[in-house]
Amino acid sequence: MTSHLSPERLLRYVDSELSKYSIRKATKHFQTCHSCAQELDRLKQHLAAIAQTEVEIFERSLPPPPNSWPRLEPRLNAVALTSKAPGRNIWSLPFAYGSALVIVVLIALLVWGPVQPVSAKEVLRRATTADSARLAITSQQVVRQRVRVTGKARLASSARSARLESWKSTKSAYWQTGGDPLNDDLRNRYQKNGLASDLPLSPPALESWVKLAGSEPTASRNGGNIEIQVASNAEGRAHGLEQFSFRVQTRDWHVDEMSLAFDDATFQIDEENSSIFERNEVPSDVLARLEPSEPKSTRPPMHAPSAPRNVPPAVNLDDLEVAVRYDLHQMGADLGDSIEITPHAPGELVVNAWGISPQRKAQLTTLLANKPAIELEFQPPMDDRRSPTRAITPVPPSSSQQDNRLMTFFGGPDAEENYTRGVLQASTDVLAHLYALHELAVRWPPGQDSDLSPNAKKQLAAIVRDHARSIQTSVSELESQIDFLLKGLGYHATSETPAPAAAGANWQEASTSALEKARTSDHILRSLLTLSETPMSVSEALPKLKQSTQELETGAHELLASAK
Amino acid sequence: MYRDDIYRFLLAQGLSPAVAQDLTQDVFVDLFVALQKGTDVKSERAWLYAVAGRAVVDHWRRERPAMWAELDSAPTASAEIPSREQSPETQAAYTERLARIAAGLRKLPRERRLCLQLRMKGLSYREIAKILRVSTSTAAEWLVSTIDRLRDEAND
Repeated sequence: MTSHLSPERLLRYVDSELSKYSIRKATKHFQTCHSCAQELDRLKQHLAAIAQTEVEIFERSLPPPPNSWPRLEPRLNAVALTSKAPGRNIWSLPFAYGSALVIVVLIALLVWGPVQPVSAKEVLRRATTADSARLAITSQQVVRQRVRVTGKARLASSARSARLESWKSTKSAYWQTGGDPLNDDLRNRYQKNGLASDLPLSPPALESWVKLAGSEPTASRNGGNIEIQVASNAEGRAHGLEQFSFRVQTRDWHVDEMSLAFDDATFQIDEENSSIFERNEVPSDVLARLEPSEPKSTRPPMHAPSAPRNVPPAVNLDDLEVAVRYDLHQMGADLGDSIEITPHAPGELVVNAWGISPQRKAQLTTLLANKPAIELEFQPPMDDRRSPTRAITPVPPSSSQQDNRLMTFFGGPDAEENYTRGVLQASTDVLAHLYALHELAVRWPPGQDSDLSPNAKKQLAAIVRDHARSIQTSVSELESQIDFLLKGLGYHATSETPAPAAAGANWQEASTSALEKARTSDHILRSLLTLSETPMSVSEALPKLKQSTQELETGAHELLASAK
Repeated sequence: MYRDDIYRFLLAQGLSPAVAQDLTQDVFVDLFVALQKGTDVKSERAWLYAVAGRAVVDHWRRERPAMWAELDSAPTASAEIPSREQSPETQAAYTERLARIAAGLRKLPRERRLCLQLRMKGLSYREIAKILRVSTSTAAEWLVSTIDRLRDEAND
């Protein structure tokens, strides 16, 4: 919940032109701000379209390069000879050989460059160098890596997916598996391969899996990426590994995806984000698990225990945070207001609010200003250029993207625009609750609320339940609006009751899953009804819309069941 | 790989084939001299594009009158453009969209176009700014406004 990112900051984010701190902040922001996440998606799509235009239209229209470059070799020789002019002491036999070698390399670069294969070893070297620099930390810092793990047992009919959050300090690593069997299985395989103290997507992991597979890696280009594959040799297969592959972005040599194929299961690991935190920004429970023995080891053994200096009386920051979130929830401030809550140096919770209304400011001041261990800060908006309504931009009547069937059905542009605003508002309501839940799910993944007091657990459960109920109500509203459109446009799908809620799902997974479905449904609606980067025709959109709405309804049921 | 890429990159800045060929050779001679002097060239590709970009700017300064990039053959959208979407309707819409972006690219002031292309070749804003002899914030501002302008063109 922070203020919106300006167009320049969005572009700088895409181009990795922000400081590590700003990237971390922006990444966190995208997880909770639907508007900015959408804007980022649009920007990426637009940049991809520009790149495709360059390649598919411009480059094809350019005259072909010449077959030979007869004037180049004499020029290179001339430059070499100029260096050999009398009076220059640097020209010696080894230097001459060196220059000749450079000429040969250059000519080879020019002549054979077009058919040179990608060197897998070089790519691996560059990737590990780049990612080592990217994930470099001091002893006062900790890296957090979030990945999506998709796994499939060899005999299983379908794959499973789970989110995995891992932390690494200079001393050790901690995988927050949340008790998910998929994550546990992957962690066990990493530990078996001596990777107990590394992140899932990290240079040591890459090198170690390549080494275990044993064969020479091969590389192939795929658009702006390079795919590296290593098929296992006999020794690798004896360890159960059949193939290892990963994807490198040539733009910055970053590895963001990796696949491991074992004889009994396959795993795909996709990076969601990696961020570096100062130690005092890391939740205390994570630090305790990351380096459990650290506090004891720093205490002189012969001294009697004494109260820590300058540390206020023990405050359970997690409890305090839940209490603040509960209060904010009661006043509806967790649905889009730019408010960020961060545990801070020792025993303090910082509540930062950006660009909020005077009324909300007064509410927050009354609620939090005089509470112990809470630091309330107000910031001006960073960028007001994007208003909340910008995301809803109905297709103007004159647009070439407009479909006549929509206009015929609505009978006029005003009616179409009214409908569009209404249905997108319903969709935005669903998303607002789901983003609020998602933020809680990220903060307290499954099994990570054990440090909370019973009262805090109750408050957290109440927030989750409230959102789940609101989501079901909003989804029903959204569904009825979408049904109106589907029926009006003559799309008749069999009326299906939603599938029963999946047994055993926790609210964190259920909310993440429902959020994905809501985003899909929202994307289809915007593609159909607004000026979108990815327009869809009516005939293409309707079946997808029907399906996504049904899936969203099922997701809302599952969420409510898990919240109870 | 590099030779043809640099040549095409130069052509895409509106240079004639003969000039592009000459400048391509200049770029490689520069690389040779740099290597001979023991310059630490970390990425040949980035280095070549940076030198090529500077060569273009220098060429423009010598050829003052032209203010806009004029490509020899006006590119047109091809019906063969593979679209990521499935339906023929969407594919047609996407092709049309690329054609509008292409038209927008053609109308860009040449410095903006070079700025955008250098970004697409993976150069940092700082490197782009040095080539164009502007500040890093100006380079970033140019990129944002250029991309925004192309988005408007695409949505027209």
